[in-house]
Amino acid sequence: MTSRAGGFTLAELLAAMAVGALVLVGAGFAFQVAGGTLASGSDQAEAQQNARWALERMIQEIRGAGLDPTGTPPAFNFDAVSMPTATSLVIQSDLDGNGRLDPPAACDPSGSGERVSYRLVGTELRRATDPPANACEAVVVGGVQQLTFTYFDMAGAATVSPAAVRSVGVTVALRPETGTRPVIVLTDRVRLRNR
Amino acid sequence: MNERGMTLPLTLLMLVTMASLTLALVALAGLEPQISRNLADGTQARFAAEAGLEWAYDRLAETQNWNTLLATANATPGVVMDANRPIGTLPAARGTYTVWLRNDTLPGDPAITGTAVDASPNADANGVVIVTSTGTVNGATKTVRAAIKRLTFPPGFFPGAMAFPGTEAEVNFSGNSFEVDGRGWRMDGSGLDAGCASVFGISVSSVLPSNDPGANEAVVESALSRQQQDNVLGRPQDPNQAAQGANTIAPNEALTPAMIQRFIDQAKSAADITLESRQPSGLSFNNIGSSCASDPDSATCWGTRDNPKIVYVRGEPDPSSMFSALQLGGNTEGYGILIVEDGDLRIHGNFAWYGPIIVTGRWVGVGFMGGGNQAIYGALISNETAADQGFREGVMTGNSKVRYSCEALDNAVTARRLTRITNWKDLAPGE
Repeated sequence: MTSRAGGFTLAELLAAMAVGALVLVGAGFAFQVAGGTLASGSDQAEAQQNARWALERMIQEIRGAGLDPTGTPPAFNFDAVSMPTATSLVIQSDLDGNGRLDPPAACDPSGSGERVSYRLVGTELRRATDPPANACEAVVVGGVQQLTFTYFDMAGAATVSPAAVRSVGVTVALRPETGTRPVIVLTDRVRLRNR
Repeated sequence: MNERGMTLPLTLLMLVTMASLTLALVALAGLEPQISRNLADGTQARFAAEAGLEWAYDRLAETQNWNTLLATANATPGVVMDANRPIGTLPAARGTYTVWLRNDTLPGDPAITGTAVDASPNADANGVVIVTSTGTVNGATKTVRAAIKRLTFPPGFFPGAMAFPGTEAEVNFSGNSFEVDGRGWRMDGSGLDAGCASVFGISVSSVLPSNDPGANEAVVESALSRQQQDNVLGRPQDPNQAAQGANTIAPNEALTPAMIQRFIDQAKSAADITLESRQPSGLSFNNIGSSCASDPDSATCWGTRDNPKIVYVRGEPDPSSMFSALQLGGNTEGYGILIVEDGDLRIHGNFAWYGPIIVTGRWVGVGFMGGGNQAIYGALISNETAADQGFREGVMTGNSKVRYSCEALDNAVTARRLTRITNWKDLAPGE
């Protein structure tokens, strides 16, 4: 036997395969863990984004509530908010300055409206431009665990009287729509600039 | 024969997998802070824009004539009140605002102001202008817009130094040291103001009482002796006659009780100080104004030149006509608008008021009761809306003066609460 052909014995091959498999299993495990972290991280980020977006959207509309160009304080044509409850409210603004609150010309639940309602139905935050019927309604964000509106008067005391409302607190608790990540809670309080 | 194995491809595969995983994580980690940075910048920019609006409000409230600010404005976007101004004393990196001011002349403006448009971009005639403020922080911008309104005196609100637009004008003048002067005086009493057109010394309603037109003018004129008539000066009814006496006691139809009611209904909702006066004794104060130096916000400081106030006294209708809603004594001084409704105003001691005094309602009157130097620079309106024959709407005793003063009236409209921010709107980009 002058030369031995280049190659491995079966034992060598088996050993190498075993080592390779071990490495692959390890890598796969690491990959899985990393992937899970990534997924949950992006889920959580998405939930935060959703909560921020929902809160920002509501806050912005509440801040401008009560726009009433033809009203003269304290004799406004209407209240800035109507039907205030802990999980819903209607935001009222006379956008075209005609002295009254007009119904929407066409159904556009994400567009502007002189009366805009927000309410929690199940885990969905919904927005409508034709309250109180809410026939024209769209989901703003899902996975909502809690939505709480609180209302305060000029002196900062809690109130339930629509005419007395001068600032509104909003709390949104949101869980990622997939997975079982912890709940994101965001809260803000806004003064009605037009009252 | 090559049997080199799989090591290299396997290694490369794993390397690529790991690298993409790392990149994904890094991208996620990099994106999230950027999102929150943008959110923070946007929020700060909105607060900067609001700071701009408040700053503009301040400028407008303290400016007597808004046309001075609108002098170089075009219809849109108007005129820059200030550009890239930092917030208070903060460095510019923390945010700046740019504020535009324009008059409401565009067809869509009534939806913002609630009133009919003005004709000229440079002349505000309806007491409302539109302010747009853009806040900028690290490249993020937010814009808010609001109408800023001021309650101004309607045209023709001051036809005379002393006006009796109501049903009656029964007056009594005693002695010869009183003075009613419809010529425009400087607010400090240093002399006449050439830029202030004269009004009548005393104006009365020419349509009330309806059963006897012209009666009120005759009532006032006959209450003054020939000698006393010399103490009433102002715009002459007949330009060829002397600008005093009966020739400056004149009928006027421009100022009506309804106009006064509309004005005070708005003014009292903006009052700095609101006082309730109850029968029978009413309210009585001495030395109003003495607290201004130490505590300008106190309820016994009724305005200063730089910070005039609106003081509203709500009385109670008293058919016996005897109720004094407000009596002032000692050394009293105030700036702004004094409104007394449904009750008399009686002035004792030393008294100086700079701005209009409006006494209005049922069974009312104004009395300068003597006992010191008493002066009003501005104008006096005594508007009786219920007939009470035999009870006076105006009494002047001792050393008392009513001098018409444009300067004092213009200063009174800088009372901050007459100016309001209304119709605040967060503008969407491009709106």
